[in-house]
Amino acid sequence: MLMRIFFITFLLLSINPFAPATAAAQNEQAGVWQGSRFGVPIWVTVVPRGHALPSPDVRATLPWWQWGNTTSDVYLFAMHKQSDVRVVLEFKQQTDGQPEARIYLNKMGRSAVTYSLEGQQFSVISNEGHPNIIVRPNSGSWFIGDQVNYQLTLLVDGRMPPGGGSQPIETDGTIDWQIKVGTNHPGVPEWQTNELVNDPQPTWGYNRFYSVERMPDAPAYKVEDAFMPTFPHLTLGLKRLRSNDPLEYSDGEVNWFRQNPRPLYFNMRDEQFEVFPFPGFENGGSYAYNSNVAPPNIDFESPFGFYNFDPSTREAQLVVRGAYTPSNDPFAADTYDSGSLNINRSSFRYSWKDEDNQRWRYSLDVAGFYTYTQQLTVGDYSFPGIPASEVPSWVVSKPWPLATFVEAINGFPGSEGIYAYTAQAAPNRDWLDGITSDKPLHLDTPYIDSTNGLTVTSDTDQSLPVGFRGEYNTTYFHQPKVYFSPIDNRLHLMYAEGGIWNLDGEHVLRVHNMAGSAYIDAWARERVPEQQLGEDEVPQALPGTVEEALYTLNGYLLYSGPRGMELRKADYASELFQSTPPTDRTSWQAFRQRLHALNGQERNPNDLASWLHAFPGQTLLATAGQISDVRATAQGFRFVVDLQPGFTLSGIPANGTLQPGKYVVAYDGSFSVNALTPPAPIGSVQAGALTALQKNDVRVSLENNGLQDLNNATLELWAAQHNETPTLALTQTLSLLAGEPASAVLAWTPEQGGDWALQARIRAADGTSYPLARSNVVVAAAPTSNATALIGVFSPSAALFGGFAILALASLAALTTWRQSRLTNRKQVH
Amino acid sequence: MLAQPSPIQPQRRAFSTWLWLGPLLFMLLAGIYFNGRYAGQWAEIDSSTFANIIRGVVDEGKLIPKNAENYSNGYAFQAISAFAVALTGVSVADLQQKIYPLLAWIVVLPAFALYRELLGSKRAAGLATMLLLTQPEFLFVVLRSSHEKFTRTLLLLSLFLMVRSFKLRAQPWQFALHIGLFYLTIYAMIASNNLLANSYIITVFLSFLLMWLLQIVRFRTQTREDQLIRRLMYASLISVGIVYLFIYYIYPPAQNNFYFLRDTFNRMFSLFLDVERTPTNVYSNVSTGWISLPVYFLVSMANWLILGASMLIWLYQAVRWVVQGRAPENESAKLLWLLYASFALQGLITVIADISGTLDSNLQYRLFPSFALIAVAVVAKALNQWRPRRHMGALRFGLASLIGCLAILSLAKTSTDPILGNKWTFYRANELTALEWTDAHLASETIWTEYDERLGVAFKMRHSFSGNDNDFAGDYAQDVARNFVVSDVTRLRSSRLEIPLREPADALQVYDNGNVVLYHSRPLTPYQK
Repeated sequence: MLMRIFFITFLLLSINPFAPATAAAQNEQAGVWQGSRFGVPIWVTVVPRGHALPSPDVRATLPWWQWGNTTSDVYLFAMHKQSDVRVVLEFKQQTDGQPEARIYLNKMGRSAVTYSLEGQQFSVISNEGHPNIIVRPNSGSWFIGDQVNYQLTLLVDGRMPPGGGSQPIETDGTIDWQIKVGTNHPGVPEWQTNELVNDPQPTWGYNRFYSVERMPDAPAYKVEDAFMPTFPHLTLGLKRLRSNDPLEYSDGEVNWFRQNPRPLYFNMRDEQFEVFPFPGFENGGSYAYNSNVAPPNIDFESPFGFYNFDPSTREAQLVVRGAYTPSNDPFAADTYDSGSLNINRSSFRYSWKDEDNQRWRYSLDVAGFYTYTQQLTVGDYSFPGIPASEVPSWVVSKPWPLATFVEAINGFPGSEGIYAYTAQAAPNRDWLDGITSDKPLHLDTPYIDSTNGLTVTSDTDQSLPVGFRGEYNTTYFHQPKVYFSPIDNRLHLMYAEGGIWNLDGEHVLRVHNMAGSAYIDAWARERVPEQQLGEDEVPQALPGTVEEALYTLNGYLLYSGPRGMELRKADYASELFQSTPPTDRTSWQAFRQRLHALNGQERNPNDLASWLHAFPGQTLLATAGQISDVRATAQGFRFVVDLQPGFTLSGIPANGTLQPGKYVVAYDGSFSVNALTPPAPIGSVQAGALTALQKNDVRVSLENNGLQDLNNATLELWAAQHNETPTLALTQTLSLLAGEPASAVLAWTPEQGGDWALQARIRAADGTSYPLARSNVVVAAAPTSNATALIGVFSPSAALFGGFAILALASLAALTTWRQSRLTNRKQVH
Repeated sequence: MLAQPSPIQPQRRAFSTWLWLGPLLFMLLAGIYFNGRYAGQWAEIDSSTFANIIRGVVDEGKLIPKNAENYSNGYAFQAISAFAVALTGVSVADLQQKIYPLLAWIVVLPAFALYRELLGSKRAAGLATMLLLTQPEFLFVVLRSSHEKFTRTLLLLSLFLMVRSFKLRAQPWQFALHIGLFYLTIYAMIASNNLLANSYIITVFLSFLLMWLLQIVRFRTQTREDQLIRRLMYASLISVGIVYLFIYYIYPPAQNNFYFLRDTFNRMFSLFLDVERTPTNVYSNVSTGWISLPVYFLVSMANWLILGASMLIWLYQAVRWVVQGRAPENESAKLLWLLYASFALQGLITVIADISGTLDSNLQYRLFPSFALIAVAVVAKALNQWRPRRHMGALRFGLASLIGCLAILSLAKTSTDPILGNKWTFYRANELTALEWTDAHLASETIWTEYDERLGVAFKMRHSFSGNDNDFAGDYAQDVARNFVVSDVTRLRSSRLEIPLREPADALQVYDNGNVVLYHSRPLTPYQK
C-alpha cells in the first residue's frame, strides 16, 4: 500500500498542479475602452485602486489614460479580443512615495497574461505574479514639469526582451538585467546602460553589457507621439510594415531614421514585447558599446558609432564598428579552440556615404592589435574605450597590419555599413594571430554572387556581390589612405596588394600591384571558370581566363585584348589625389566635393581598350597577337609577345629584322627584344642528416635557363628505396622565372631507414615534365619500440616489480579458483 | 523455493566464511599493480577530467561550482573526493593516481554478497567474484579513478538488497529495512551517475516486462511470480521517479547532458543505454589499439569466454523454462535469468545503434561491465552445479590455470601495457617536467604533445588547466600548433605506430632536458613569433 501511495503521489507531482487560471471575467469597477491602434482592435481596461473611476458619462468625454492615475491603478491591454490581455501595466507607490510601474507579460507577450480581479483586488497569476519589468524614476515622478523624466531605472526579470541573450532566463523574482537611463537635459534621454546582473552561465559568450549615448552633435531628439501620454514610455505598434499588410495597417512601423519609437514596445504583429534603447538605435549621432563582458572590461562590438554629418537627416553618414578582444578575453573568437588569446585584437569597419544618404558607398576596414587606453564613463560605468568624437581619427591615424577597401558601385542600404569583404572577416584572424603562414585565400578568391544581395551566403564577410569591388593588403602597416587613380577614375586603397571587382557574377576585374608600389598597376578582366557547386553554394572568383588587360608600368601602358596588344609610352599620373577617409563633417564634405567633380568619368570595366583614349602617346609595339607572362622586374618589366604578321615596332631596338613569332620584350631603362626560348629548368637536391619517421628538410636549388617563365609549375620530389619504383613523395607549387635562381625546401618524411634515391622534377602547368638531378641519401632508422626498448623506459626495479606482481596476481587468482573448485568437489563426495 | 544452505561441517564452515578473502586480496594486489606498474605516473581522460571536477568542488566548496568544470551526471564522486581531500590533506592528483586504484577492492564484498544471494552458495559466489575480477572491462572501470568505482559498488549493493529482500517477506521489519536501504542505495547511485543508474533501472523494468510477458504468453498466474513482477515494477517505477526528481530538482546540471544531445530520440536512448558525452575511450580503437589483432583477442579473451559461455547457459535455461516448462529452482534463479536477458537486450540494441550510427557520435557505451556482473553469475552457477564424473583433478587444474592466465591478460589490458598496447596511459617524470617548463614559458599557445592525449591528460591530472592558457594538444592540432614537445617515449610511440613526428625539420630547439625536447616553428610571417 505504501508503494502504491508513493507511486500515485509521484504521478500527481508529475502533473503541474499550478496550471494558470483563465483570465478574470468582467469587473464592474473597471472601465473598458475599446478602439484600434494601427488597424488592430484593442481594449484597454483601467482598474482603479483606492478610488473610483469617473462615471461612464464622464469617461466618455475623456481619453482612456485620464480615467485612472499612474501611481496606483492598473491598465490591461488586450488585442483582437478583450480577454486576450497581453500587457498588464500596474502602478504602485514605493516606500519613498515615488511611483513605480510594473509590466507583466506571459512568455514575453506571446501568451495572454493570467490574472485575478475581484473588485479592486488585482493580482497577476502568470510567472507566479512576478513582473517582467519594473520602471522607477530615479527622483520625482514620470515628468519633470512638462518634460518627460528620463532619469530612470528599469529592472528586468528574465530575458531582455525580445531576445536578450541566448540563455533562457526565467521570470522568477530575481532581477536579471538592470537598465539605467540618464540625461542632463530634461525631455531628452542622453544615455542608457544595460547590465546583466544575474548571469546564468558566466562562462558562456553572450551579451552582458550595452551602453548607448547621444553624441553632442547628434540630430535633434525626436520621438513618436505617446500612446499613453501619462506614462509615455509604453506603446503598442507593428514594428515593421509588410507589403501584404491590409490597408488599415497604415502606420505603426518603427523607423529610427524618422523618429525614435517609445522604448517599452509591444509588437502587436509578432506578439512580443520589446525594449528599445531610449536614446536611439543606429541612427545618426548614437554611440554604443555592446560587450560580452561587463565593465571594468569591454569586448565584442565596441564601439559602434553612427556619425551624422548632414543635419537634414537622422541617417548616419559614417559608421565605425569596432570588434575588440583584449588579451585574455574569456570570450575571444578563437582561430583555434585553445582558450583565450594572449594578444589584443582590434578591428574596425569604417563605412561612409557619398552622395546618396540612403546607401553606403565606401568601406575601409582595418584589423590589428591596438588596445584602448582611455577610460570612458557612461552613467555609473567606467570602461576602456574611445570618446565618440575621437574614434574616426583614432582609427585612420594608425598604421594597421591588415586593411581592406570596398566600393559598392551602386551603394548598399542598411544602417550598419558595408559587411562585404572586410578586414574583420573571421579567416583573417588565422593570419593575424600567426596560426597560419598562408595569407587569407578569400581576399584573392572571394565568393561572388550573381545578385547584389549579401544574404546568399553565410560568409558575407568573405564575399563580393555584383557591383562591389574590394582591395586588400595583408601586411599593410600604413596609415589607411585611399587615392584616386586617373587610370580608371576610381578610388583605391593605397598600397593595395590586389583586388577584385565582381562585374556580373561571371566576370571579374582583377587588379594587381605588380611593382609593389603604392598604386594599382594592372587591371585584368577575367571570365571566372566554371565550378561544380552544390545546392546553395556560391562560386568563388578563382583565377580565370583573361579577356582584356591593361598594365601601367614605368611610364608605359601595355594593353592586351581580343584584337591584339599595344605598348604605348604615355604620360599619366599615378594618382589625382590621396586622402584619409573622412572623419568629421568638414572632411566628409571636402571628400564629397572632390569626388563630385569627378563623378561620371569612371571608366568602363568592360572595355579596357577605351581607357587608352585618355592617354595619347607613341605606340612602340602593336600586333594582333597576344601577350603573356607580364611581370615587373627589379628595374622595369618584361612580357612575352606573339608577333603576328603586320606588327609594328617603333622606338624599340631589335637585333636585326624581326620575324613573326614569340619574343620576350624586357624594359630596364631601355628595351630589349629576344626570341623566346622554352623553359630549361635545372636543379640539384641537397639533404642533411635524415631520419625515418621524422620531417627532414630536402633543399632543391633551381634555375630556369630558358627565356620563358614557368608559372604555376609543380616541383615534385620522387623517392625510391633499394631500386624500387620511385614514388611521388612531395609536391610544391612554384613559379620558376627565367633567369632568376630559386630554391625550395621540402619536408620529406621517409617511412624507414636505409639507402634512398631522391629525384626532383618540375611539372609545367601544361603537363610537361622536366627531370632534375638525382641524389642518393642515407636515412637513419627510427628507434625501435620492442619490449626491450619499452622496458628500458622504466627503471629495472619497476620492471621487476611489474613482472613479480603480475605473476603473484595470477597465482592468487589460480589458487583462489583451485580452492573453490576443490570445495565443490568435496561437497559432492560428502 | 529459495535455495537452502546445506549442512556444512564445522571446519569447512570456518573455511567457507573466508571465501571472500581470495578475491579481496586479488583486488587489493591488482590496485597495487595498477598503481605500481608506472610508479603512479598514469593518466587517462576520465580520471584527469574528474581530477579537475574535484578541484572545482574543493576550491569553491560547492557541489555545483560556478567557475569550474561541472560533472553533469552526478555529484557523489566529487563530493566524496572533496571530503577525502579535506580530511587527509592529500592532493587531488595523488588521490586520483595513487589512492583510488588501491580502493578498487570495495567492489568485492558487495559482489560476493550479491552472488551469495543470487546463487545460494558461498563457493559459487567466490567463483563468480573471481570471474568478475578477470573481466578487463570491469577491472578497468573500477581501478581507474572515476565515479564508476562507487557506482558499480552501489549497483552491486542495490541488487543485493533487492534480491535479499525477496527472501524477507516473512520478516516485515527486516523487509522494510531492506526496502529502505535499497532506495537509499538507488539514490546514492543516481547521485553518482544518473545515466548509469537509470540504465540499470530500465534493466530492472525490462526484467519485469519480460516476466510479465512470460506470465501472459506462457504460464498461468502464480502468486510467487505475481509478487516478483510487482516488486520489479514498483522498484523500477519508483526509481525512475527518483531519477526524475534528481535531474529536474535536486541536481539541475544533469539536464545539460540532454541539451547537448540532438533530439528526443537521442535523449531517450541516452537514458536507456547509458551513453555519455565522453570524447574517447581507451578501448575505442580495437584495430589500432593493440600491436596486432590476435593480441587484442587474447587480452579480451575473458570477455569472449564469459559472453559465449553465459549465452549458451542462458539459452539452455531458457529452453528448459520457457519451452519445457521446467522453471528455475527459486526466485533468485529466475531473477538472474531475467536480469541477464535484460542486460543482453540492452547490449544488443546498443550494438545495433552503434553500428547503424543512430546515435550521436562520440558517445561511450559502457554497458558491458554491467552485463558482465550478471554474466559471471550465470557461468559461476553452472560451474558450481557441474558434477563431472572423471578427470576432476585435471579439470580443476585447468580451470585454475585458465583463470590465472586470464588474470594476467586482463591486467595487461586494464593497465594498457605498452608491450602489448598502442594506447599508452603512462608518462615519465621528465616529460612532466618539460610540460611544466613549457607552460611556464609560453602563453596561450597550442603545443603538440603527441598523437593523442597521453601527455595532455598527464598535465591536467597533475596541474588542472594550464596556468598560462596553453593547450597541450594531440594530433588534431598538428596543423595549427607551432610548438612541439617530443620525448624519448614519443619517439618510441612514433616507431610503434609508424606515424611520423610532427615538428618541422627546421624548427628551433628551445628546451632539452636530456629526454624531452621542445621545438618551436620558425616564424614565416610578420605575425608569427
